[in-house]
Amino acid sequence: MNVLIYLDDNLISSISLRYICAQARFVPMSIRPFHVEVRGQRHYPFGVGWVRRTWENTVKETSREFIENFIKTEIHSCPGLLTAKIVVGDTETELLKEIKTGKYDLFVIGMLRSFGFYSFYDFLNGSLIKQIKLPILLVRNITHYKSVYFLIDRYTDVHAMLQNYFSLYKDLPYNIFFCHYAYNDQETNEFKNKLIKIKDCFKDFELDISKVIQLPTSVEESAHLLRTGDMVVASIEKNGAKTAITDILANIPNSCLIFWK
Amino acid sequence: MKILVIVDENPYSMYVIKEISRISLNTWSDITIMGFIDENEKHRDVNSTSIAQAMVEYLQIFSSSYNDSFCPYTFPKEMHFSSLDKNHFLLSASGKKKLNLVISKNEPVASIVNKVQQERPSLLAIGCDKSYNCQWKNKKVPSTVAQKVSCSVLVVKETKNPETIVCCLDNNHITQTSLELINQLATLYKADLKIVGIAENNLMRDRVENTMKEIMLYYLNQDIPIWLEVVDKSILSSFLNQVAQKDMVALWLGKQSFLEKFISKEKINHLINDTPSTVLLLR
Amino acid sequence: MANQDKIKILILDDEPIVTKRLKSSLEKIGYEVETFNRSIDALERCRKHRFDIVITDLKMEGIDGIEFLTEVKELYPDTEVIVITGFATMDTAKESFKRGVLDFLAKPFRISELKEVLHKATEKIKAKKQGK
Repeated sequence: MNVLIYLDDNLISSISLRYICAQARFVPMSIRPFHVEVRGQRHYPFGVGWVRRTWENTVKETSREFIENFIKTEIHSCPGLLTAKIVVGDTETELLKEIKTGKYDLFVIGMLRSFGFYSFYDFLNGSLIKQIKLPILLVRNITHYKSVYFLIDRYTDVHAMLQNYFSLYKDLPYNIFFCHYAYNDQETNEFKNKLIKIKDCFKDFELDISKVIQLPTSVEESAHLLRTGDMVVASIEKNGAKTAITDILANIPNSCLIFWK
Repeated sequence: MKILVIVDENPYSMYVIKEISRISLNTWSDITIMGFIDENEKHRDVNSTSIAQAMVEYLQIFSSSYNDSFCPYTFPKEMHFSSLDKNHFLLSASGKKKLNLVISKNEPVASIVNKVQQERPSLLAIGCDKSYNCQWKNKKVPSTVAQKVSCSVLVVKETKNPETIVCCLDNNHITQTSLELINQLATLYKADLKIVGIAENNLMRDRVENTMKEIMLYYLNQDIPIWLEVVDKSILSSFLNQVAQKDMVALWLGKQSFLEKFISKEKINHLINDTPSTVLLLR
Repeated sequence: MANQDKIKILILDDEPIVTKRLKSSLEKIGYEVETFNRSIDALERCRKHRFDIVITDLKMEGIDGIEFLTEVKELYPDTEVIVITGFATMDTAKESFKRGVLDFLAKPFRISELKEVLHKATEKIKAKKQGK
């Protein structure tokens, strides 16, 4: 798996780097740290032509030293960790450019859980997310649980979700649990009708899962239960629409692996 | 660990005794339980005062939590207070560890502050109940004491296990003692630990991030999972209100704490007096 | 205390901040103190050298405190063991005493509390020495 991870020299980058490196112990991956030095962020003059190129090279080198030192102090060994790629420019534009090279299977970015500002929805509605097709691993905290929770509702294409997951994480030796969210009895009944089909999917992927966990109707309670998973896997629409699934993802304190519908 | 427990005759004091007996089952702490004689009972024999009777009952409750012979205290057959000096009376249940019940005739707040200075406990525990409005004989003893003493204070509201201990981060000074206290409580309640950093205008200061990271690394080394979360200063108050409905709220309030600037004394008093959750003030 | 009379203490705690603080406080009052942050190193030292008092944490990577104190007690039944723990449970307290520890101190504790326990231990050691 080819992973692109966005890093700054801050707390959440420390968390996301440690988190992906823990997974790299089980899953063969090459991890490309990527950092964008924002123009004018540190004290460099603006310029044009060769002045600008020289300036950008200096900025890049300074940033490289910064980020490489950060990585060195954060983590002693991380299988598959490549040298950092540093560019100067606008964060979203440069990230998008890098993602669009098509070299990556997964984009990893950290986001501290926050109360009352920069929410999960701000993240979903950001222009970067709107433009990428790559699955995203959104890291929020370091956890060492040995299970992965698949968060599904009656609209989820379980087969596609499993296919996507195993294309990335077939070597991750964690237990998989399926957790179904239903807002009311009608949804629960509809899901029950789908259950036989879903169980067939489990067989297709040689999964030994006998039951699907029914989550409580309260989004907060569901999120609380899901916190004991090392990550929560979900498949959501890219239009940023609020659904019960996105609400749960907004409330969980642990990391989530997001596939796009 | 040394704990000073303040009690009166109200039901919330029963809660605090039950909570402290749970803590002591785990920690084998040295404990002093302190009560105060009511003004109109000051001339009666100490053992016939309502506080003495309540404290004897508390000691019985305390002893009943040790249902086998493995107990660090020695509970006396005769539950009788004897005079220490003209204003203080003692009933000792000390064994391998100290368990002293002390009754004082003095004014509560000043006596408690003095006792803390003398004994230097790691924790002062006091009960408080919303329905009684935290009134100790018409004085707001818990909130006054909590602000005045130099040690950590646990204000117990009722006996329940919090699922999460939400620790609001003081960005300049986290004492080892306060972390150890949180660890003991998290072990007792099997609770999640959430460390909350405070942002200003949606930005985290470097020193807040650094302290959060130090704590994260401390717990990573201990192999204990914690949750990190950020709250903006502007909505800290509503965050605390929400948390104080079900979780245990822990606030760092040392001399160097900036939380004292973020959270007014009135807010702390409100958390102590009017919310259902147990509050831990860390120093 | 003359050097040969000095009570020798080994302190084992995985947190350097704890061992550092205890070492300086106890050396000031005349104890001879060696500190370790890894139980394997402390055990190796104990196998070569007898300490009068061992102060140990319980929750540690590798050999945990209970295993460590059990081996110390097997090697030197007269060594007094004091347990200090940041994650106390009823079971660890019981287990510690079953294995013959002198005292059990839950963190946080004041140095004065530890000094009190050490005084008890020292008196016991002296009494044993005089008895011999």
